[in-house]
Amino acid sequence: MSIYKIVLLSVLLVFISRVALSAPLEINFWTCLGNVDGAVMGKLVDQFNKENPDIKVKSLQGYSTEKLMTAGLSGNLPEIILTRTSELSTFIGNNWVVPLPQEAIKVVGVRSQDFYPTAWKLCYYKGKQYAVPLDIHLLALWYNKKMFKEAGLNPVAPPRTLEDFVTYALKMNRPAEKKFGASIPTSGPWLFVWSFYTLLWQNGGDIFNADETKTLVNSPAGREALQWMVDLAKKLQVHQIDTEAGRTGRIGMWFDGPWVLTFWQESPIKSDVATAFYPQKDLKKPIVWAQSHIFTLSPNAIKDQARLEASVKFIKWISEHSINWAYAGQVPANNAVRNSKQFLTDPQLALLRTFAKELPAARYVQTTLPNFVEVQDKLVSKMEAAMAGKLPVDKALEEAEKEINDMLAKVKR
Amino acid sequence: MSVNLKMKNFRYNRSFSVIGNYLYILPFMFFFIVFFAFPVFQGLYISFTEWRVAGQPIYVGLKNYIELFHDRLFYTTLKNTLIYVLEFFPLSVIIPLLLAVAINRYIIGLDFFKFALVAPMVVSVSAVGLIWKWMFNTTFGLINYYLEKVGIHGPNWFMDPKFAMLAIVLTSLWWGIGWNLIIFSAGIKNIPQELYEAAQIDGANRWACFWYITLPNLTQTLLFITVTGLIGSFRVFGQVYVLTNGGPYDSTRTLVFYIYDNGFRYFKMGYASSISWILFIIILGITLLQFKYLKGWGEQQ
Amino acid sequence: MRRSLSLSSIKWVEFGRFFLLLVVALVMLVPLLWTFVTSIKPEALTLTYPPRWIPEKITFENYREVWSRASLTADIVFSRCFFNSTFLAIVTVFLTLIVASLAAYAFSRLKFPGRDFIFMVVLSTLIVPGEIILIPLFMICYRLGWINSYNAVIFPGLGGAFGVFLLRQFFLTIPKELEEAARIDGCGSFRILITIILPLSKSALAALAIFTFLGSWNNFVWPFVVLLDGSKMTLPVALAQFLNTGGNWSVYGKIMAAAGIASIPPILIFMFAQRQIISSIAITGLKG
Repeated sequence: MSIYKIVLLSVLLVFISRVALSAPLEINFWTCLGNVDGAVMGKLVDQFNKENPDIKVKSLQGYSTEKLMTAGLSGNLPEIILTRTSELSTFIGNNWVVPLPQEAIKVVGVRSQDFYPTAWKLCYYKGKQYAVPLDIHLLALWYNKKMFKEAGLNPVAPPRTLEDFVTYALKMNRPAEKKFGASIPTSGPWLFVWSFYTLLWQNGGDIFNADETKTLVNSPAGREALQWMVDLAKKLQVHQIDTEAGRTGRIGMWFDGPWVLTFWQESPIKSDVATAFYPQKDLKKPIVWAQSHIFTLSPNAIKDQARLEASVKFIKWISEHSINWAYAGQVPANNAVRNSKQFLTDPQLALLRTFAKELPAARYVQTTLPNFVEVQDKLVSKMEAAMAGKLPVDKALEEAEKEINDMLAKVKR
Repeated sequence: MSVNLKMKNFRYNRSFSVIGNYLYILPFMFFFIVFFAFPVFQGLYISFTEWRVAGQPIYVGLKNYIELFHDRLFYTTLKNTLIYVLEFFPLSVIIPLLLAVAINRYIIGLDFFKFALVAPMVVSVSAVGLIWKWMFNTTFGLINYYLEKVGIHGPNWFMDPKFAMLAIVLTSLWWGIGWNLIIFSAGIKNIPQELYEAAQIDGANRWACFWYITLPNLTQTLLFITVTGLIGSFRVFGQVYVLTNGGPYDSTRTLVFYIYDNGFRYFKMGYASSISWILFIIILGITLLQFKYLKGWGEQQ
Repeated sequence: MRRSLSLSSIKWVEFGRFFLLLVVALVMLVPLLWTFVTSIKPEALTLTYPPRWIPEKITFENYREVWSRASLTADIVFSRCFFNSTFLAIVTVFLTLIVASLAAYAFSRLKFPGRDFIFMVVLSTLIVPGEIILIPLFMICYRLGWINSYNAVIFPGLGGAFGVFLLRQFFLTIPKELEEAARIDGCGSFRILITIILPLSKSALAALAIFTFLGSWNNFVWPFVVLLDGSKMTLPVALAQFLNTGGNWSVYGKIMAAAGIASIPPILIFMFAQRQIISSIAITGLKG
């Protein structure tokens, strides 16, 4: 080959390699979010892509189980999956996620001291780290100051104990006018059972015993918790008012998470609503149910080093910019963000700050059971029977205990 | 041509045409076998395994079926499904039939009625569920609001097991009437006008026309509607998922819902498959009975 | 037409018919109207008590937000999804009508060994719930290399027994004499199908077309699983963010707007197709 051709070829090679290198690395990111949440996360992803032109993150807000299953079978899992702490053991059991390679974590700079410790710990499964927490969401008391005033209650002194809660609720309760002192969820595997867990824990009980071979819901603690909920529903004549009915302005108090923050920004009754700590049985030992969204990596993320580093880089970036995520109604797990001036002073986040202050009381559902969802469904079904008056509380929890213990006995350990 | 030659040609053509007749079902059978029969038989195989849809299925023989036999929740879902079928299916046939007869002749506003009666069909099942979930809300929903206005204290739709299933039936009727209405309408249109004219000359009233002309000429249509309608009722799932999620207290957990739960929430695909095969056998039995009973007034056209 | 009934009883029957139709029509429309009214309220005002039919404030922000910001994935363009759904639905209807007509004709009018047995086997597959087939079907499409391709969305549906069953029942109602007369004249089976059977089955074909269209248009679970690119996504998948019910709370304004957006094209097609059905019946009307 002549010199001329060699020069041309090498210039061409350099040009091609530069183009190839500058073509952004494509990373797929699936989340469990939907609705408003998903839109906020989508915008964050867009911002990341703009600031990091060498990486292109393609996001999908709201995967379905079918999609994860088929992706797992065909090797098409996204590199990063955002899921919840309660689902981690399931994901691990389905081979959808892998332990986080510690060197990559160190290289990119994701350190445990930057995160809320309890959330960080929940990302570990049998000693290995599988995830990085994004946020914490927990339950709190939402109340309507206007209804407080109408009943002669002090709008800046919401009830701190469960007893006071019931008293206040009954005082504000005027069913004939369709104004209710409080509403509690009466069915479903979400807020309904989360409220039960909170009360169960406050009463000193727990869901399972230490090695998760037996359920402990049929204990005095559990029976008291469920009875409290059933009695309250009866006293208030609460008929399946979802917590979202608080938006009608006719409910005095309800339990809900921070994720509804965006509603209240534009609500006409915005100034009437405030948040407070979840009422407690024992003010010295406050407990409230909590859960986190967590970033996990699928087997596809560790296929090559570039992909892995890009994924971890993305996780770190989102975490550092999670102040924007806070506006979707989530308490950031990143300590720096949570203690930032913006988070602590922005009036738009006023309702959210209560949740952040409640963090010391946060208690997660911790389980390594592969069939936790099935077990919980059984519990919820019996609880619904008690709520509907089909079974007395004792019988309901007794049956739940028997059937759940049968399920636990079948689990391969 | 001589008669013998004609007959020989005829026989030759006939055997040729028999093969040709298979060609008509060839495209359909190809898609059917590859994309339907094959997966269905794989599903049968899976029912003899345990499989988390990750890794390989593990062969366990009849274990799933034996476990199913002892599963109290399975019998509950079977019972719930039967309740739904009994409450939904008859009305889902009778109401569209009467409506199809009613819109068959001109009346003021016919176009409007035709449009209104089928409009709900268009909405997807998730949206239907969400719309009715809020409408059935016990305290603030539209239904109880208007019930109260006429002095009826609205029931606890989604907390009372008795009414939860009723809510689902009503939602399903609202959504599903349009489907059968279109089919009945098409069937009625195929009935020659002369039959009605002759009957009315003979002095038959509306009811006689319906009973002696319309119905007998709709037997093929009715067979279709009852077979697919019954099968469809047994397979109810989408609305339940959105409206009640199977509750309260498992009162609306239907068979397909149980299949879905086991397959996609509890990751017991083998068990889910076995439930669907038991469902298959049950419905197949009922369908065969339908064909046997209804075939009498079917084929002799 | 001579009537042997008295005038007053006719009036009562007619009035009853009108009243019945009116009541049912209202029952059908009221929830849809409520959906629409909710969708044009500002999100924060969607849950009020007493329920308001006339919104305090009318806004189209829900529609705007669903259309522009509701990106299931960042590379979804809503108008593209509209087009995708339309394209898929039309192709599916076209192919289904052809495949099902051919098979239904054979099952109803042609004779060949095993005909009824094969038909019963085919029919029995109507019983199988889609959820059970999902994973095995996915693996078949995966092995065919059809993941992320429209082939996976269009072709599996052509094996459905519903259309074949529906058309077979209708073909059975066509008088055998017509066919026999044509055969004596020397018509082959195919010509009989095209020139006699199909034209007489316009209403059944229209019904099947409507059902197939709606089934394809509203199909969510399968396209969501099988398609990966945003540019290929269909409308219900794009709207899934709002019609998926995994959330703990409901943005009713946006949900109703999403439902509205998904429902408008089929409704328009209905209104248009309705005219077609009516006029075609008028033409074929009185048959000899």
